[in-house]
Amino acid sequence: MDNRFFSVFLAASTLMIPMSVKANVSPQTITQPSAKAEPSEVDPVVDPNIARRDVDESLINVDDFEIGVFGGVMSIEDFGSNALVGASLSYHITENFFGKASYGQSKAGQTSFEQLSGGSQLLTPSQRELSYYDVSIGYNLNGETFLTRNTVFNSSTYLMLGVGSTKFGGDNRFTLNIGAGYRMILSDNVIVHIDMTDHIFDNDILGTEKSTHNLSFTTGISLFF
Amino acid sequence: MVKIVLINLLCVLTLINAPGSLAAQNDQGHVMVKIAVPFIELHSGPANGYPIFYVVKRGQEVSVMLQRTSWYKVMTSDGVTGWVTAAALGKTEVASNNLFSNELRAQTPYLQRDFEFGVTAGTLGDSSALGAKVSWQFTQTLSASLNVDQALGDVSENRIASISIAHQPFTKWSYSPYFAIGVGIIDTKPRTPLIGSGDEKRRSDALTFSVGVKKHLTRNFVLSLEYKNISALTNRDETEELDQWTTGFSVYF
Repeated sequence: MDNRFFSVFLAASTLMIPMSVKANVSPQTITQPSAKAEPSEVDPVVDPNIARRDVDESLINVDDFEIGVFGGVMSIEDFGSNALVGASLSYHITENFFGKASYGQSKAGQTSFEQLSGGSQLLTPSQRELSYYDVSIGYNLNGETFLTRNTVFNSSTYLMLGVGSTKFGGDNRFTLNIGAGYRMILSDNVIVHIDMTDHIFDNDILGTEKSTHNLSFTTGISLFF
Repeated sequence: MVKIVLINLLCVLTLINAPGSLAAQNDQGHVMVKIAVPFIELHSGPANGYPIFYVVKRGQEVSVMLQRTSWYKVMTSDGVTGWVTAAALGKTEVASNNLFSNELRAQTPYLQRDFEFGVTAGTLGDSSALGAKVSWQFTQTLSASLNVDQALGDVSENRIASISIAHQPFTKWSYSPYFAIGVGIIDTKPRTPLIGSGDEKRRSDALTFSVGVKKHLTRNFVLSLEYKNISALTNRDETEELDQWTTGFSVYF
């Protein structure tokens, strides 16, 4: 008898849920009808124990990743300035912090010694290929940019600090990179950015081990996904 | 008892199928929520640095279009779009008598993480080292990791790949210690200009023991500091011991 009474109560309380919820809850909602109240406390008008519901978060698109390509100029110390192309993947952790992994490649020119000595080469053609990968953490300074009086875009200036590995002169070299950049968010998904980075690594190609500063200046486009 | 379950199941199914009774999604498939606090503020972008340009009052409905970090892009019934914090959206739900519960959250709780991706930087012996790591948290305290490290020294370059099992006994501590043991391989390659190209590469097996501390900083962002002892089982008679100190960050999902 108890069982039957209990089941009628549960059925009644569950059926009441649509009345209290109206049009707000997802069909994917998981309902957990309240079964804690005693059957004797059944009130057909108001059920104080409204079931908790979970909004299915998978219905909301989360866009924390940013993938992009960039191109520009890299100045390799002693070896001139050359074209640089690369790709990057960022993950936005908070509104301020983001992590970024990037890969780039360039090709070194000739040192002034090589040009003046006429023929002697310090590096083989394959050793002149420079490629790097690095991982940085960045900090956004968010704001708006008024291109004209009425054309406004969200933007951010950011600072980056990271480590990586640069392959140059036949070896991988531990690289510290410090940079700053500016991104303009054209729409929900499309971003254009410019970056200036100092890639610092030790180099002994010219005889003595020294710390070299290799500056890159790039512009790129990326997409949130 | 079976009957009770069946009746309830039937009720729930009726609830789900009833047309129009639960229009939680609008035409574009966005989740709809109702504002239950006096007002929420819409920012022009997903950060506090972007200005507030609109206010949605109590009782109005907004559709949630997009999430970025801890911010949600919403559209009002008048077609105005803007960004609100997860905290603001959460408050409306709690205040509305748990209609939406406070489950609309911007992250997986730290203790319920499944995967962690991290990068590290530090020293291995006298050389600078960097590494990457992916971990699978299969219980609250135990995790399995795959680690790849690269140490770039003046004389040689070492690459270490290892798998390890970590135990993090005090998960609720703010600075939570962990211990790990693992096995791996080390590839050593001499630097070109100093020793001359064509010198042999060496590969040895290695055993690792690490101890470290993790700090959950914000959202899904974790900082870590680790000491790792690596015993390289070389072909020579002695076992080479290497000390690695690293600091790093990781994100979990």
